[in-house]
Amino acid sequence: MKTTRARLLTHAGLALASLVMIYPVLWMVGSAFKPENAIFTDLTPIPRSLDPVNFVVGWNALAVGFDRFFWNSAVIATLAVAGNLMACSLAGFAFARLEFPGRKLCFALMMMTLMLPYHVTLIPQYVLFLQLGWVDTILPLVVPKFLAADAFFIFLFVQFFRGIPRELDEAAVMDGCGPWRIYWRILLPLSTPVMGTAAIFTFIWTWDDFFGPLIYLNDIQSYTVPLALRTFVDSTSQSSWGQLFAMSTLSLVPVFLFFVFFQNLIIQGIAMSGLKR
Amino acid sequence: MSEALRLTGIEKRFGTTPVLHGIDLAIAQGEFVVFVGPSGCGKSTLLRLIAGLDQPSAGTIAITGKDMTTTPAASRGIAMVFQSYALYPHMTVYANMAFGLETQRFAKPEIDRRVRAAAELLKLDQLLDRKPKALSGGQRQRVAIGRAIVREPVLFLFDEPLSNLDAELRVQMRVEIARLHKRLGVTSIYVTHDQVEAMTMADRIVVLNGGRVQQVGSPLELYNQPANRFVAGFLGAPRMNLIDGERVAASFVAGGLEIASSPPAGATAIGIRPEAITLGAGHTLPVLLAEQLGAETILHLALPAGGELVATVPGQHRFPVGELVPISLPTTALHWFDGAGVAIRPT
Repeated sequence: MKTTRARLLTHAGLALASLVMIYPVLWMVGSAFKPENAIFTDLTPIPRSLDPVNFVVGWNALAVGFDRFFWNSAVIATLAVAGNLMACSLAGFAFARLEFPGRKLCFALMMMTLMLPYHVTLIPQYVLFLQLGWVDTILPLVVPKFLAADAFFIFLFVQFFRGIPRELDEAAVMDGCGPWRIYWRILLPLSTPVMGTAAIFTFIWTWDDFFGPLIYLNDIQSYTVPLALRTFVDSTSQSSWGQLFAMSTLSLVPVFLFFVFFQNLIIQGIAMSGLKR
Repeated sequence: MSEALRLTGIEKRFGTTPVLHGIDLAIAQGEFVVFVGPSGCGKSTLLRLIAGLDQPSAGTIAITGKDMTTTPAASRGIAMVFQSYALYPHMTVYANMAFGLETQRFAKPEIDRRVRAAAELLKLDQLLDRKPKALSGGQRQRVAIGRAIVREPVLFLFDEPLSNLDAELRVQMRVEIARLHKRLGVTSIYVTHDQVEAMTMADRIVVLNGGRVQQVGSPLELYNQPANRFVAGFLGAPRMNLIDGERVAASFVAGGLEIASSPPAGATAIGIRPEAITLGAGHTLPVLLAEQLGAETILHLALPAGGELVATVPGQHRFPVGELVPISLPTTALHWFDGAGVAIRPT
């Protein structure tokens, strides 16, 4: 009896804590259905009616429709995922399996870049992209991903590859494989957990990224969803909070779907890497 | 018979640590040669050099008469069976066996023919669609062998292939590998630290220790005429009794026993196999322990000068500890060793 009660109490406590954590999200979703004047006066997340007007108006409230913003975000996120998977796995393979002069030094340097805050490299990077004429295109957001600029994911791949027995590589060498074929036919097919982890986190981080697009994208035609959302809260004109929340809610859908479909992989990946942000 | 493999002056260093000190060895076509030795003796390193997975620091490797010291592993016509099998976990049994042939761009029908032939030979036909994780240890081992067979190599390398199997399966696979060798007739090199595997499977055994070849010969040659104390002690179970002694007047005394009269010159130790010792007339020694194996009894006897003498006698003998047992050490069964541990052969 006592244990049942203790368990009930534990669960109640945990449920309450979860509620506190999810409340802002629920409030945002609820507010998307509320009329403008009720949003900041009514703190219950449950709207009185399910009026979709904020969604309908919000979708086309800006100079450019949200279909455009979603498309822009999707293109950047997809390219980022493809780039990171390809480049980081190759770089990881090189560090984990190939012998080349300066390998340890390069690896140490790469690990050190993990400790550099984004903001330190921001200005030089901006100058570089400006001189390349890439500002106001998606190139600064996408091209670095294809050049294995994400040390964190490289490290993830290195660690995973190191866990794959070397005898497999040696068997492949006996079977006539060179490094490229070992990577492509042996290591990559065995790396689905780490590929999944890298794909998911790249997608979520790119989709949610506000700072990068803010700096490099100036034309509203090329805005991503987070940039577009900010436009709702403009100091010069009236803020449309209801529409902002409606579009914010929609912007969570892809991330949410990703999570639902790949949650096993994410959990596996987190357990594997001890990853947390 | 033509030569399948010739090693000349093979040396290997890892950093500054020498692992192999000048190995010379020739292996004839069709031979089954076993490299045996304790852990760290360099036998696996030597195998990897032959395979082409590592490069020797000095010396040359010739396979079927051609110098292949720097030839890439895949072009040497060699197949290797790894200790952990190293099957590709994401591929089916069929794909595992076909992979090497695909890499070498064999035609599909030829690949299929070879894989199916090997599968039939190894009784894997029913398992071709399975992944390695759905196979038992013995089956995985057979797939690993199958993967080697399909390449139709001139030389098979086995790196302790049975060490991950349980005792019963090991005996079974041992017989299977030996039978396979008889059937295919491909020159094979087999690395093991298990002297029973070495004795039962080999045409010739290469005993390695400390990166040097100690002796090369047929199993019985090595058993009957070990070249030195290391080989004498390494092959045979229970191991040979090796007792230091000295010449006293005209006879040789070891362990407090007068072993023989007129010992060879320079002798400082004798060796005698436990099974060569017989019960009755001679020395009388107290029993330390009697191990009953049913068909035979292993007696541990105390030597007068300390240390023990192990004797294997046929049949069942219930000797209580401390009982005095009469034994004799036939002079003809004695091995003599000099101060450097090298065997002294009767002239």
